[in-house]
Amino acid sequence: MNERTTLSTGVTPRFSEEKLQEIEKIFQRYPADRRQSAVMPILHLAQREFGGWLSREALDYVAGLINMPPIRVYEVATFYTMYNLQPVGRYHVQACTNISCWLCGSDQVMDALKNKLKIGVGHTSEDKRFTLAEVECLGACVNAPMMQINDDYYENLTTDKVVEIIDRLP
Amino acid sequence: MATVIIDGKEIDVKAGTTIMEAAKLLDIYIPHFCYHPKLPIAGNCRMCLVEVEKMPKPVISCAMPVNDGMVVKTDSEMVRTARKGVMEFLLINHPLDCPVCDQGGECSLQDLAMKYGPDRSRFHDHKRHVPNYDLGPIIETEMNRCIHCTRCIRFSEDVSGVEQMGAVYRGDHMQVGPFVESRLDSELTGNLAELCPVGALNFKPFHFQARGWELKHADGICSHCSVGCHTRMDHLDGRILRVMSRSWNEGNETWLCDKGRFALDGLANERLTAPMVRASQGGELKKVSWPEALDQAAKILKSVKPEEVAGLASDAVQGGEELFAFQDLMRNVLGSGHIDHRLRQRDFSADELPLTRADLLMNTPLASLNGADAIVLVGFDPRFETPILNIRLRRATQAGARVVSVGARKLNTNLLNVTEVVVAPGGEVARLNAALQALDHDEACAEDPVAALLKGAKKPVLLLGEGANVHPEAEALRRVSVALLDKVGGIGPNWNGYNRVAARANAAAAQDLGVVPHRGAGYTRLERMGMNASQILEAAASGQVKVLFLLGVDPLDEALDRDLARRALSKARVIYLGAFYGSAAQKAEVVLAGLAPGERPMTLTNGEGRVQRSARAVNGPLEAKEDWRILRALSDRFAAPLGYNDLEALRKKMAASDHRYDLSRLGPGESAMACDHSPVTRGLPVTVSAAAESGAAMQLLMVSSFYRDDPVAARSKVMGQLARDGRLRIHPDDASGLAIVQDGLVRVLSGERKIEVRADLDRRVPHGVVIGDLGRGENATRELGDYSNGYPRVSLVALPG
Repeated sequence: MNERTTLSTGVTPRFSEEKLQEIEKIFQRYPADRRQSAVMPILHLAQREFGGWLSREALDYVAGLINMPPIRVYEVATFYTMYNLQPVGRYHVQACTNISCWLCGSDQVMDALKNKLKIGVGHTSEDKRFTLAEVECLGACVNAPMMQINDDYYENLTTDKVVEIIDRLP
Repeated sequence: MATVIIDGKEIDVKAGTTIMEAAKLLDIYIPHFCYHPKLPIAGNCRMCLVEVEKMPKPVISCAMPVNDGMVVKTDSEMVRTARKGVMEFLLINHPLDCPVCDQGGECSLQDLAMKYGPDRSRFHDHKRHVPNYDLGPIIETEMNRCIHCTRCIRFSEDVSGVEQMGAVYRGDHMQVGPFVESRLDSELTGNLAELCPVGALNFKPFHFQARGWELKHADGICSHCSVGCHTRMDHLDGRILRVMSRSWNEGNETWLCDKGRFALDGLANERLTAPMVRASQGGELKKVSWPEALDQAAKILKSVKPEEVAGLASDAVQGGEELFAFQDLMRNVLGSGHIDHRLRQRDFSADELPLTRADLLMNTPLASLNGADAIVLVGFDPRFETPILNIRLRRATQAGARVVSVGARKLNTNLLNVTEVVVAPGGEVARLNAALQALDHDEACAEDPVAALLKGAKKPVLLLGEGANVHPEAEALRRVSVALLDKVGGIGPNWNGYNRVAARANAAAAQDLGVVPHRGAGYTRLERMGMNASQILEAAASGQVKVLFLLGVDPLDEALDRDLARRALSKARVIYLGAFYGSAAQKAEVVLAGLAPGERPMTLTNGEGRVQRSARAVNGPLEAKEDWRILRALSDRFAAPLGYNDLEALRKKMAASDHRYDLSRLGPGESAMACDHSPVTRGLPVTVSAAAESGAAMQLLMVSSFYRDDPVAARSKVMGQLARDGRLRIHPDDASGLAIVQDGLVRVLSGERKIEVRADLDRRVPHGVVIGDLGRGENATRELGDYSNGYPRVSLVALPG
């Protein structure tokens, strides 16, 4: 893992009015004196809104919204691997390599992905379309091997199926 | 109560006490890294494992509360095996670079690895590499050595209130630091390095200066603010290299502020090493022998009438001994009553009243401030006047106390629950008087923040700070504060919440020992009042006072009116006794080389009126001598010399004039009494002058810069890096109206004086006010200070460039 890599874009992103209302709703899930509890759902929303990853400015912006010290947001954002601290492509391809998927051939799936996308794990293709990641169990062992592209699960994968799925992406 | 048996020794402790604390009471040491008596419990280093009977596994003693009948073993086979295991894991990623580590020799990890560590490693993979950060001028980092005890994180969160340290990533990848490199924005950063049980956070100014075991130690009292923290001066080869805290539960606990810790490099700059005499007016200062210098000083003093001599003393660097001898010399040998130490004060009207020590000092001991439930700050910036006192206030606010700050500027505070009442400069009296009136009416009381806070408070405290002490109507402000607190029952035998906090370390001793024109040592009334500081400077400038005797004080830096001080120094003949070659020594006819704090035993009286003694750590430079001995030798040249030949005799004389200076009456290990004084004077009439009118011009407020506000700190390079002074602070809205930009040059006109200074846009500055700095350093605004003018109206013109 290449650590301490929060990238600064120099631009502070802003939530739209509509999203700010959504954030108000998130805050209401928690007691008024526990606003910091909202940090995870808001970071998740920020990642969705601001291009699939969290720049340093995005983290600082969220810290400001919740009124907590930035370092406490950095701690949360770096603790969980599902917050991306580096830019990701339009399609974030996350292949599971945990035990169930591995026993069912996730190595071949991974190789097929690498060949098809022509990138290694943790890299983003030059056209910024794909980022390939190796992830831990996503809870779909029943249909292993599996992968997740953005919000969708693709299960019972084979090498051919992987290529077909990638090709079909708009 | 619970009875526990630890290693066969039985002890009764309060329920809820942890095993670690109970063991401490029995003098049983349990090894630990993350546990710190003054920080919240983390329990993550696992080093303090102990065996408890009937528990299957070892438990961490720092977090385990005792139960009645618990039997604890701190050195059983199970414990030793467990600690060995923990130690092996702690050392896995530790670089073991003790030979080049500043912490080497005084490192918990090194010590405990000697006892519990394996003699060789079984770990054959690569050790982790962790990035270092530049955290500013105080802290040097070597984060590979970090063992993740999180003390620095807990300190930042809990004590300093500036949350910049954190633990990012997780598991094996965990890193401690600010993540995004930034200078620590706190006045307490030095504590991070002192807390760190390993060498991950070190002192930057001490980096590679010495090894721990070479250092000699001397117990000191910090002389940089009126808290008087207990310090340990670590010195080597005649130089103080480092100041560490000494544990003092009633005061600094185990903390020190950055000024107290690192202003010491100022001791080595611009020092006077030998007595000097100026042969002719405008000539050069020449080194002479001590007898020659003293003869010349005596000649000057004898050449004028006694009332044409005046003395000014520093309350920042001089010990009680010098202050006492100085006033003794001035009054009883030279026969002049013109003596003062209050060069920043504007309002001297209180001198005519028989004010007591209680009126002038604090009445709530530092240790009791934690218990306050309502805090009123009047012209007080506790964080940047007395940082350690501020920790106490912060503790009170963490426990739920609310704070109202009444002052002419917004504070950069780390207290919680703060309401800031910003008044026009000088409007504090009217504001507090309104609160006093509001207390009588329920409705008005609810609307007035000060009255609402004080009403119903059980333990209210009111603290007058430097902004109140140098206020143009300081006495009126003091009286209204007393009246306000008295009305809500805040001044009583059980709880006295009235506090006047001086900024300077030894201001209380100067008051006690009579370095004021209206009182002798020990609060004795004088038949005739001498001139106060502002009158002395006026008289010197007009030629009425012909000789100025300066004790460690540099009027050009210290006096509120720099222009007046300059005229006074050029007109009068000046004798300077002090440690530094500053602007006063440059003007002086006779320069007597004295010593600085750390080089002589000193009596320091803190804001609570607690008399404390600081030891001598190192020798002074070359021919410089202890200040009071110089005064004693000088007095030999007069008819009635001072009656003490050694320190013992001088201290006896001090004790005779004020019994609080008699430390022999204290038992062994007993600290001098805090707030050992008569009750506060109540019932003085409150006068309120007409409210300050608001005009088109901006008002200039001058504050002293925390990191430069005494002769030692002013000469410190480290403090220079911390201080952000020298610029004129202005609100961005006011600035944009005047076309002033950040760092842009501004011409400031005040009456006939004008200066040019760079601007600093700061949202904390109120509208219609500009804030400049007093004191030493590159700042031009100090030229605009004035004793009589209050807060001068200034007009600003933006200049190109």
